[in-house]
Amino acid sequence: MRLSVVAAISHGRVYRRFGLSPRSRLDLLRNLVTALVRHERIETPWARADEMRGYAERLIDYAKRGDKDERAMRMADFWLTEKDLIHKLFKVLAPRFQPHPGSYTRMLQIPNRDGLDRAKMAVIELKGNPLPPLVRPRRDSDKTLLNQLLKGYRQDAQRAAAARGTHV
Amino acid sequence: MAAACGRLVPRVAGIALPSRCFSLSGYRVSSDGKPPKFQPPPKPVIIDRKTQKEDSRFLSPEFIPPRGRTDPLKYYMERKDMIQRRKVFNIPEFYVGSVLAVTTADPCASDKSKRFVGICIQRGGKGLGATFVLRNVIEDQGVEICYELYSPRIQAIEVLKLEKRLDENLMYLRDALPEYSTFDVNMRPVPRMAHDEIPVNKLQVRMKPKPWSKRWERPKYNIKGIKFELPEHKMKAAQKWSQPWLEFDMLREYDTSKIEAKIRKELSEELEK
Amino acid sequence: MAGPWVARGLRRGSRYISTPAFSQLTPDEVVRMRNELFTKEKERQLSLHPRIEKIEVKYTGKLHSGSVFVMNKALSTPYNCAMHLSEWHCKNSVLAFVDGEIWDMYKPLTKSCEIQFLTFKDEDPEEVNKAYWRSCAMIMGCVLKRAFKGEYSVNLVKAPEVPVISGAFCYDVVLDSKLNDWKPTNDNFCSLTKDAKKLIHQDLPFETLCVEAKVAREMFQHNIYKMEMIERKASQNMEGIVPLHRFGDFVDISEGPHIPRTSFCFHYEITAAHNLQTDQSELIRRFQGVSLPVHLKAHHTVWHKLLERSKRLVTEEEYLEAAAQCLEAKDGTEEGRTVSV
Repeated sequence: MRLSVVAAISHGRVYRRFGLSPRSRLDLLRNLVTALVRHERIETPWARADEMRGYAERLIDYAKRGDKDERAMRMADFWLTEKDLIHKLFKVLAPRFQPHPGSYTRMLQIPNRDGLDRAKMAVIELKGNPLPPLVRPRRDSDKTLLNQLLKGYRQDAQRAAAARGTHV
Repeated sequence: MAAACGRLVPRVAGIALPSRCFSLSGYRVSSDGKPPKFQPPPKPVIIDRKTQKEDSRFLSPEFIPPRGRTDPLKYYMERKDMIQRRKVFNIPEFYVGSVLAVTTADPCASDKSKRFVGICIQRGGKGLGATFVLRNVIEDQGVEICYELYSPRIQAIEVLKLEKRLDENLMYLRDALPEYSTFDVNMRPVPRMAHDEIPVNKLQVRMKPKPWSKRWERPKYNIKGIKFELPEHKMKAAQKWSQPWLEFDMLREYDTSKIEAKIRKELSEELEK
Repeated sequence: MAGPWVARGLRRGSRYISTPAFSQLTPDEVVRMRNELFTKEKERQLSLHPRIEKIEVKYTGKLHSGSVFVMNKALSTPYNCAMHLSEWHCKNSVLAFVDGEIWDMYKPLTKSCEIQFLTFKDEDPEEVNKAYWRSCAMIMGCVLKRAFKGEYSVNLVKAPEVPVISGAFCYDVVLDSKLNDWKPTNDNFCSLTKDAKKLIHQDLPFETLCVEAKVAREMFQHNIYKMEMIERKASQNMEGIVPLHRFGDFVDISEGPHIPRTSFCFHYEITAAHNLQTDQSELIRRFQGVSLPVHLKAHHTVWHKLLERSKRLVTEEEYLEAAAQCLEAKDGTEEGRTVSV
């Protein structure tokens, strides 16, 4: 269920059609979710990644309910085709994302697939993975004009707070 | 408060003691020998517990906006109107499966109003346009009337029997034996305590022979309230249409708990005014 | 109409004889006179190079490193080099770094050299920040000089070099003694800011000219504070060269290089004026303001916080201490970065 420009004129169609049937669509996405949980970063056609993303995030939401929860266990059992990953889901991913309210994955578009069909491709990864980062955030240095001004502001605020503290 | 009052009326009818009289009766008892200083506490205690329970339990389903790309502003504005209506008109708590009596304005009737008793078989619509369908069999003729919950033509809604059934939609009563949807027009309200759980009637109805309006045995409808008397192989064949994976399609879930909490808060604030 | 012209001409004629007469000049006339002198001096310096000579300028920045431009001596500026590189360089370069020396973007190159461009987002943009602060102060000086419409005399004293971290740039001004009791209100600051915005909108280039002390003295003869400054500058220099800066028709003498154009300012606000305690008889006021360039825009909440802060008095000494302190306490700076990214 995606809310986007495409969805706005979708005439009620909210899922993409993959595979041969609705069943096959979920099986395909299951395999992708399993791969994502195993490798933490995978490369797939953009549409599949986009479709799988919602399921992966919901699965982690379920995992955050704990492994005592029966429904969460059923979900994990269905969505992870390789059963050794259930342990990873509950013991590694759930604690990792416990402080975050959502948006556990990051999706980036990459150049179209070459050689086969020029499909639009994407990389999807779980946040906080141990792999080297895909994009390095470029930040302004501490010494730019604005940051210097803000630094001065902060120092003033700290000084004021300290002064107030000593008064009290 | 309107909803609360709505709950209050049938209960009061059962106990035959309006809450206002409570202190009076207490006063009468105490006037025999003791000074009347001890009496007031019961009244506020009772009211508090009732409203709290009310708040935590029941929210009329039409308050929850449907899922999708709808502008919540529309539903927000409709909620305001609904609350306005509930302030002047008592819409009681009822469920699919409850037996209701509805009085509507009818220009053709002699006393300009018409009363209909029946079982609620469906609640539909969201917001101001919410509806419910009552069904009864009158003179061997099945009658269904679809009422708009907030229609100004409705003069009174009375809950005769507050209960739930095993299913959320009783449309299969159309194909069931008529005895299951026959209710006495002059039925007395069934008394019931305010704080009880809503009882679930586990009745399984027996159906007329096929053909039916829908193939109720198919797993799509997930009907529990029918006692199927079909041959084994037919029941098995119906399972061909089961979609066991739908349970795992997490994006189909519509979690309304947060919305409910928000609307409930909004409602209580509005009704306080 | 002829009367005042003649009178002014007479006064101008007598300028060199008796100094007190100049206090009668309106600020407009003073500005025009300086502007004319500046133009004349510039033309004279240009005429020193009748033949166009070529120099080779090597670019040693990050992108296109090692490119060599053949430029005109004493005519081409670093900005021309940037034009050869890209539009990005034109828009984002604030200063040039020519043979280890900070150079204005609109100051002609005089010899074959190596060049780099400095921007606001460099690793260490301290020089750029200083230049920006200086230019903002100069714009404020120009606004103040004109704001009083010739009815009151305005003497610009100097633009103290305060670090950016202090939160405001400032300009010291001596106003007419009639205005000693006047307290500028918020509306006054607003109208000053409006004037400054007008200047910024005109997109005026900053020009630089190195002149001999004699010329500078002639320009600033009726401003004793500037005269002191010229003397100091001239004594620092071997040949008695004084750098002058001009944007539009406002000429000022200040420390170092400036930003290329006034349109580099994005947020600009003149926020406060304070009376300085000095031992002199005149009341020196310090006008303060705060500004941000187009390259570093801030969210309006942040900007209003900065505005609030810029209202308190800024002094040079305090910030020498503060600078020392902030060197000690280098923690707590991480959060600030995210704001301007």
